[in-house]
Amino acid sequence: MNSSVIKHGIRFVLLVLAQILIFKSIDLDTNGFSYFTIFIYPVFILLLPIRTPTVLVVLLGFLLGLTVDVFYDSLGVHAGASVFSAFIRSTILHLLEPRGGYEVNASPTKSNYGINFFFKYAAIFMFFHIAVYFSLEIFTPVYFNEIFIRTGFSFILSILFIIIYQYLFNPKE
Amino acid sequence: MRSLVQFLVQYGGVGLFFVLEAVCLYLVVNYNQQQKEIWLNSSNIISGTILNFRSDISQYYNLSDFADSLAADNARLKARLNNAQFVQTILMDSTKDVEKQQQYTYISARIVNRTIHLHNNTYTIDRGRKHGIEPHMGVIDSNPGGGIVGIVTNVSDNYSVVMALLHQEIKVPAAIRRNQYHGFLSWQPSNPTEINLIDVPKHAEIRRRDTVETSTHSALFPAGIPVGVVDTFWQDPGSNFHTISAKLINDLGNVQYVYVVNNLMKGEIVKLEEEASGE
Repeated sequence: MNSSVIKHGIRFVLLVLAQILIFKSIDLDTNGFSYFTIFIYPVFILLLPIRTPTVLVVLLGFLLGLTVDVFYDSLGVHAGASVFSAFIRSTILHLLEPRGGYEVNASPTKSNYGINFFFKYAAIFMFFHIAVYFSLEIFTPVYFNEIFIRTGFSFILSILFIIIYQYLFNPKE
Repeated sequence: MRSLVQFLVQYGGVGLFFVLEAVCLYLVVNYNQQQKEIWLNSSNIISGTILNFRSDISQYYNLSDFADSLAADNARLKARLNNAQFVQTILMDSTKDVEKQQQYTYISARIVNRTIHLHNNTYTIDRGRKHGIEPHMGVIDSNPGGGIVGIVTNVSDNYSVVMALLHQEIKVPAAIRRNQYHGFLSWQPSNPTEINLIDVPKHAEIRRRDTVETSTHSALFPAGIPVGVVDTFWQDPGSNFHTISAKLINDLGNVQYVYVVNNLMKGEIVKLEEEASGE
């Protein structure tokens, strides 16, 4: 239990560092219009143990988002998206529950439930995370097209990096 | 205590979710310039819409006051029209500057009671002696197309009774607009949308759809107000006059606003004519 907490703590720090040091600078900026943002930090929420209570997941999501926001200088935007996706995580897991149910203390990873499961899980989760993020960032339905385009590009690239992450580190929990 | 913790763990997620989203929204709006501006603008749009809605409703309740003030304005403007002026210039040689004197002024009024299907119909209007109304004043329709309504007969402080055009005793001088043959408007109890023009000389050439208008012979109405359109005409056997049946221009059944005509020179005319007939 204790080692698990430390593991997740370290992952928290490393993912935030990766996000703000590497992925923040990958930014295809054309005429002041950035087409995408790559999200890697939500992997922390994705990989929390399945039995983690929703209260804790939402709280951790808030902390994670707020930490990223401090570096992105966009207080509340990442946090809002993270709280939202953290909240719907249990619903997504419930929808994708395998016939035998989940094992106690397991994390929803590729190595535990296969790439098929993980891809669906991560795709639904990231779609909502990114859609909420851009809704909050652009903050007006007037620019619906912009929200749509940026959500699309960011979604494809983020999913790509999240899958690569699974193959690189192949985490058990 | 244990069960409370259990409860919070199980169902606290929803509450926490809403609380934290609210906190995030607060942060977004307060610490991000762009979102802050959008937020302020949008809330202005929303509150503006609500305020507009409220003022629309209150305007609706003020509508009748507003209509009254418009009617008064119209009366003032009507008094400045050409047919409300008496031309003082005597046309000798080539006098260029025309001197005019106010002859007619108007008092706006609203009809508060009416009859339409009797043999002798009357209207009651909400203006009386206080507002400068006297018996034997003409009453015309506020309808921009023209039309006259009747003649004031009785006046109290705040109200007046108007003998309607649809009254057997009415007798208003009128003329055919095209050739200015004169006659009198008179009504036979039959149809509230028609009126007769009697005593038109039999040599007058009359056509259907000729306009009947108030004539210059009347001291009660300004000249040239359309009254009706010629429908049929005939000549009674042995008579020297045409009788014309004309369709009224205005609908006397739904007139709401009227103007009472005040002829500033009527006293002078009446006095002169009395003197002449007394001799």
